Amino acid sequence: MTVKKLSTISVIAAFLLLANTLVFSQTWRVKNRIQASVESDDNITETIAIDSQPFIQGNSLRLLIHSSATRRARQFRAAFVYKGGIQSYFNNKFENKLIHEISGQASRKLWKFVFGLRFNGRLKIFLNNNFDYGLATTGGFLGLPTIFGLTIEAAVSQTSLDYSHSNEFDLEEFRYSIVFSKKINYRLFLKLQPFFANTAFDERPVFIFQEFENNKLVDSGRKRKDEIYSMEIKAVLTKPFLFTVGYQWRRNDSNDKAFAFSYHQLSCTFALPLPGDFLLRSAAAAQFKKYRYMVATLPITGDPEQSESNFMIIDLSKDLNAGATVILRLALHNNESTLRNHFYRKKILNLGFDFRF
Amino acid sequence: MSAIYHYILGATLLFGAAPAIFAQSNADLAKLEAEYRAYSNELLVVAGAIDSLKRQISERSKRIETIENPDSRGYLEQRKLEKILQESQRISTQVAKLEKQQRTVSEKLERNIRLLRSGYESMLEMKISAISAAESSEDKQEQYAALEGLRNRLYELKSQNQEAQYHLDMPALAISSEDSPAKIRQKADLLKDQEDKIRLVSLLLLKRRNDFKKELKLRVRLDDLMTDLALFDQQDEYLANFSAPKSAAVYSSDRIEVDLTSASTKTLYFDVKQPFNYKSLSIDEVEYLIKDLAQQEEILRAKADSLSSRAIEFYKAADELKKSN
Repeated sequence: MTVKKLSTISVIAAFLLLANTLVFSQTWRVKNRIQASVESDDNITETIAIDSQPFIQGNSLRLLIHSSATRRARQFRAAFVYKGGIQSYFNNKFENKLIHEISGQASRKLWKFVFGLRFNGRLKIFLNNNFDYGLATTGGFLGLPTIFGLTIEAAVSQTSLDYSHSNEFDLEEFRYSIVFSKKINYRLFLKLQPFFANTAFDERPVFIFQEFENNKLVDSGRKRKDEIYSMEIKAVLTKPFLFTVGYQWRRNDSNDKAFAFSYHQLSCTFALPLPGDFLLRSAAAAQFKKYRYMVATLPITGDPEQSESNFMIIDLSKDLNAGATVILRLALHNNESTLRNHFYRKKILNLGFDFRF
Repeated sequence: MSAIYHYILGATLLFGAAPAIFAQSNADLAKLEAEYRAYSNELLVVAGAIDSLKRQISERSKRIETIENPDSRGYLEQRKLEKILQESQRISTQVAKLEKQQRTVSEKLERNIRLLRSGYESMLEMKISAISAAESSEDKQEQYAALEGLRNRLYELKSQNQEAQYHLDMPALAISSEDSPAKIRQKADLLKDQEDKIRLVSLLLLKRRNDFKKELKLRVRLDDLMTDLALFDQQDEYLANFSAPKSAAVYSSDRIEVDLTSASTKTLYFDVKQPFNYKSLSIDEVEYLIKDLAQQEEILRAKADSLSSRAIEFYKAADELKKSN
């Protein structure tokens, strides 16, 4: 992906967005948010702790555009979201990046059923290295009639991941999921989501027994294929705060022994309004991942930020007026790196402003 | 990479152009106008049928009055009376059914008028901008004519909507020539009582709307936090799911219709006396709900004001009658 292509997309996206905002604002509900912030990251290269190399600390400027347009009629809903981000480091130019994410959803109600389509596309472009990738998901869903207050939604989706520099981690995934949700009382809402997914890597080889032979891995000649089983349960509690707690179990079966694992993930988020227009927000996730086989250390993914995660974020913000907010955010990460079962730590401090219009 | 690049570019264009595809504001207005005509005609037909049936009941009432009193009534007269009563009962049931239909259609018409007004108001704004942008005086004249047409239509809809609101739910109380001052005061008290009930419901709605707004802010801000994290720092599926467009599977099925007061048949989206769990609604749904609630409050306040002024008139009438006696 060249910068030229990226610029084209940016211009088109910005143009369409503006056109939609100005021309169709009477039929579409349009909301925009711009965030400008300065960030300090103590480990920008996601170096793992056992490496002899020291962590590289870097400061950067971040800009984010978040726009959404929704349309609602009696039997029809449509939503369109664009998120764009740019991160420019003061010294470590190789980490400079641009991100474009576009997603949309349209649905129609026919009798008591709801039919819908979803799309999500993401382009991440590093301006000074070649780790760019594109990720696209398309799918459809069907909302069934509510039974005893239970909302049921079945969905199927297809995802493609494509790295620019190599095909090793490129993949295609088909996912089948069903979501059951029910309000228990006016403060509590529960959601249960099992899913099954089939993942086929384009060119990722399966290595025989994952053992080194003369310091080289032996290619079995087969391509990696995974089967994922997952079950997620989420509870949302409210008043006067908003608290979400979730648990996810996932099992990954693979024809490559190195990637047969299961994990349990606990996650929670909360938002608590404080006096003086202050707001405390937090998000945290803890993951307990277990690989079934002890095999050679292999790279998991091309992008470290896609790796599995443990994190905790604490964010304090204050509304300056109806449209402007000042934000101070601390994020602690202990993530599995690009290498299987190897973890890196990082601490990010962010100070910025949100503008909503 | 080039395939996926074109894929995303195509989707960008498609979704970006989606508003244009789905906008169809004029088509929507034409459809709404067609619905408006259909509802108005249906109301006329139903009102005509109710009038006709009520006349039949009135006619039977007169026939009953002609029948002699129970002490001297014979067998044949008794049978005749029973037959007339049965017929009256049957006709009353038909009237009740038609009145129910009338209420349903009236509510649909009211909603339709609100949507039409909103559509025309948007068009009005566009026309005003078009007039500023028009270069030639002919263009300006043309735009002014269109603007005038829109204004007239809006005025018609506005007055009709208000008429419908006041007409629909007001208790059918009127001062009769035989009423004593005490009776008129009783009627005025009844109107005040209705006003108090409606103001209470309006207050409950306001409280509920404020609750919605508070939680909406928390949900939006939490969603923003997840968006920031998912975009820059952590492409975790958990975060991505959080900040993705939410399911649109919940339509109006969560809305519970209830009678507000014994004297009012106006329906709301939920029972104001019961806690309402809105977590199943997406952020957008909650936003629309807040807007709807504000409109409902406005309607209720207008009704309460109207009842209040009627009660004042009744009290004045009672005082004047007392003085004249």
